[in-house]
Amino acid sequence: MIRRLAELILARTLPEGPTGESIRADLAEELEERRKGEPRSAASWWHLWESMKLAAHFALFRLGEARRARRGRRGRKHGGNGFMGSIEQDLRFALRTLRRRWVFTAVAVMTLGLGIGSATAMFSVVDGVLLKSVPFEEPGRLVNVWLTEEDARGAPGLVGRTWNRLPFSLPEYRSWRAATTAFEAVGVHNGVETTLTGEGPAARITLGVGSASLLSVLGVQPVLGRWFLPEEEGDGTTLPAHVTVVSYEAWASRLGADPDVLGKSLSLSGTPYTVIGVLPPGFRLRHLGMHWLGEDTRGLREVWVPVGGPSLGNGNNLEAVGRLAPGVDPVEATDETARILAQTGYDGVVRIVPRSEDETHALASPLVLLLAATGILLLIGCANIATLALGELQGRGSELSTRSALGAGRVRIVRQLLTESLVVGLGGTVLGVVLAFGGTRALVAMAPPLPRVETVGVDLRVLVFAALLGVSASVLFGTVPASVSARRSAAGMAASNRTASKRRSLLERWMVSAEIALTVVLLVAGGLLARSFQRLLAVDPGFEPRGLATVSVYLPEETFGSVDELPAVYDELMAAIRDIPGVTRASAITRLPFPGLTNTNNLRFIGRDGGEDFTVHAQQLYALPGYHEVMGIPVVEGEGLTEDQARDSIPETLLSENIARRGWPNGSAVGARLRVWRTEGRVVGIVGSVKRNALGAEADPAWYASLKDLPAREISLVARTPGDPVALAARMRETVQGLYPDVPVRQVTTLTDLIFASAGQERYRTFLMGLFSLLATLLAGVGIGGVTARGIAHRMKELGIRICLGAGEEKLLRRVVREGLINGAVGTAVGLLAALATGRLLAGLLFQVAPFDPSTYAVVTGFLLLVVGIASYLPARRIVSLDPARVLRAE
Amino acid sequence: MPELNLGELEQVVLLGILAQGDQAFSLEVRRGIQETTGQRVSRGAFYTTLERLKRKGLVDWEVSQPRTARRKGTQRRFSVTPAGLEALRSTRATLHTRWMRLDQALEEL
Repeated sequence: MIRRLAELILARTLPEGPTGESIRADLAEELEERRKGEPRSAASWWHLWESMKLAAHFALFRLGEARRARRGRRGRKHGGNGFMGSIEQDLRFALRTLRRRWVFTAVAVMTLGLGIGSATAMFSVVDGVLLKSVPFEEPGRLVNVWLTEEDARGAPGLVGRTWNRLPFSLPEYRSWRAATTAFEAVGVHNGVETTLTGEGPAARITLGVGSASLLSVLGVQPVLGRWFLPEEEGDGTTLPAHVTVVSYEAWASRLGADPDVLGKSLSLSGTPYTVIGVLPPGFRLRHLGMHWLGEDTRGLREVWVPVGGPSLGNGNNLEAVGRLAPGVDPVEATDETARILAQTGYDGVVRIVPRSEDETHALASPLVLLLAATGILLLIGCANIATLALGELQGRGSELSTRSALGAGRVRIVRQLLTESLVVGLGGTVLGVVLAFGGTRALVAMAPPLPRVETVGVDLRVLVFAALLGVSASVLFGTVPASVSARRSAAGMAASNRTASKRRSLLERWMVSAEIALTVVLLVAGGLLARSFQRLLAVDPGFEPRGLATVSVYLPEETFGSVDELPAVYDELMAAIRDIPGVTRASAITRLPFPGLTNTNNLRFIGRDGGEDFTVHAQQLYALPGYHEVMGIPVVEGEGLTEDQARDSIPETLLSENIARRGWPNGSAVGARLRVWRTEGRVVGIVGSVKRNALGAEADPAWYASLKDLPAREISLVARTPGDPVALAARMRETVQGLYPDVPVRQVTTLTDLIFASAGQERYRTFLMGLFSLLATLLAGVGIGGVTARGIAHRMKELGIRICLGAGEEKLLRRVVREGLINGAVGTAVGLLAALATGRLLAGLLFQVAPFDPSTYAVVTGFLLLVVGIASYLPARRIVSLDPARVLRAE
Repeated sequence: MPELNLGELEQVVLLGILAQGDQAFSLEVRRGIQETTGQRVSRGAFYTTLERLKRKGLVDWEVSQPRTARRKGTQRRFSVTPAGLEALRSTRATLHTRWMRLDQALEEL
């Protein structure tokens, strides 16, 4: 990418023909030599830097040549070369003055580069994740179709969260497909997991289940072979054909990119499937309702099979997508779909949402907010450069008077100043783009799972964005000094220097106050998010995560036989884990909290004391005895799971406290009988409720039964140690693999890490907002310091006289700092009002913190005034060491 | 007699080309200059100087075969034209005369 950019620059600026070609080849040769001696990326950056320098040299060279040619034609007449000639003169002059005032130039270019760089990097993420959201054909007509269950709205548990994003069943889909006219095509998909055997060690992989129409709805073609045919789908009575389409990525990594893969057989969960096609690279289809795999941020499916099978993703959790027929609006399509589904017995509301909107619904506001923050940062930078330029103008008063006395018109001088700011803007943009390359990479590396984040990068769109920013920023900060100088006539400039400078310093103070106000807005946003994040991490998840390590294993049928054999395997595994030095307790469960995996079912209590049956939608979890003790989940009533249970008696179960409270507000749930599908159980104990997906969400209702009664192939082992849980997790993996080399082991980690990862989105936005607000504070501080320093330099004479007249230095110092603080207070007050006005935008992102949290506002105010105080004090210290005699002599 | 019209870098580059003889490829010329003078010559200044000298007719170049197998793309070999040699000589003469005059002036002090 960097190399392409460098080559693009060279191609645009070097002469055409062999001259340019040979220079490019020279540089390429030197690049190759460098690559031997230093890291690839360092060499690439060198190449880019050298290309930019070469480009600059040749641009200037051409300007010189053009001028010489004109002079040759017209004789050595000076100036008056028409419009283009004077632009060129402006440009050369701008370069010269900027070089002379290199400190100003460097500060301005760096400030601008920082602003443009962060805004551009943020834009590339927003662009990739939000704007280019759906990489399918004609995304405008592509919609998701959801069923809803109003009654479940807000109920604890999974359905309560996804009540308006519910999937279709296979019969519903089939009736819909047969009858719809509002859609050009409709399709369904689901995502589950399966075990792939026979290609290297057994692996758990993601499995997509898709209808035959799915790819035509999306407008995607396989790169090899074909997709499913309608007759290959199952319809509930006949099973789907055993054919599979593999993703490009799985084809490349698991099947060695074999060109003759079509017709090959793959073993999925022990059944042979024939490969009939390969999907294009990067094909992703996210499941947008939350399902048992947890939140599906990547949408990657390694292999696909047709819908309608009994076991591999059975027909009742199908997310529907449709391509609207041309000219049909979503309302019509909604009505039609509801009419069709009514005939199948569905009586709820149908919801149709454009797929692009649906995919990004939860991400849009935080990302846009961060982009806005970088915009504010850039504005602060512009204000800073404008005040700097104003100060420079003060120093250049005599130069400008001279030019204007020599006949330079006002327009000409304004144009000169604007040219200078455009040159600074160009420098800032180039630096910004360079920073954006690195920044984008860092943003992507730090990002929590975001859809399509892997495709984010700096491309042409992003570069155009940066260029637009650069131009608008330079106009913005160039206009202020230019308009100040335009307001003054040549005569006025010399005569009323004092009024002019007063007006200028007033303007400067305005700008600084504006900077402070903007900084306050960012600091308040950053402070609120940080506080909210802190509150979130302080939430009690319902267990004690510190010191817990975990690994997940899958025990395939090929190695371990039927599920009846598994309890013996569990015993063997647990014994080995307990033997690891440092392990105090160990156990296992089907689904640990915080990977977000869920498996819910309706739990029905029969013959309750109060009379009627009571049903609750709850997580069903199977654990080994001792699980609650390892996790530190309190047993509130009754007893925990115990070893001594006969397999033929009614299984003993535990309920989470929140179910017990709801069902038995006054009495005790212990002893109650319950039924889940065909399984019956008896409640023997009540345990604490545990958060499962997010610290900010309500704890899910859950019930626990013994893994020994209801063995499962996929389990998470968990062990507690007083020592280092990270090391323990690694030891646990080694132990499992030592025992069973073929077992796929996943998720080797600690519970603290899992919880931390669950707050990834919050952490990302909090970190970035914090970073942007601190950068803003830094810029504002530099701005205040600069203005104070110039103010003092300008008032040297006045200060000198005051000291001579007996004013104490300390007093003067205090006075300067006080003036700075007054500016700061004005800016802070305006900023607090602006923050109050914008605080509502944050409300949706905050956890247990009000958008108008007074303590955050107070801390921000205090912090900023402290910064203002320091930024005014540092340059003002000069006053103390002032020698009045020398100052007055100099004047 | 042509007026003194060679800048310092122009002189250095012309001399650098002469020093490399029939191996005066751009990379070698620049390296040679850096080694003999011990000064860094920026790539941009070097290439634009070559371009300027070419326009003044003081150097010439031809596209040559790549000198190593690794080299990809076009390569130019430079030579100093008779006019270039003449310019170098006259520059040296002019500078020499001026130094002589300065030496005299210094002696008279």
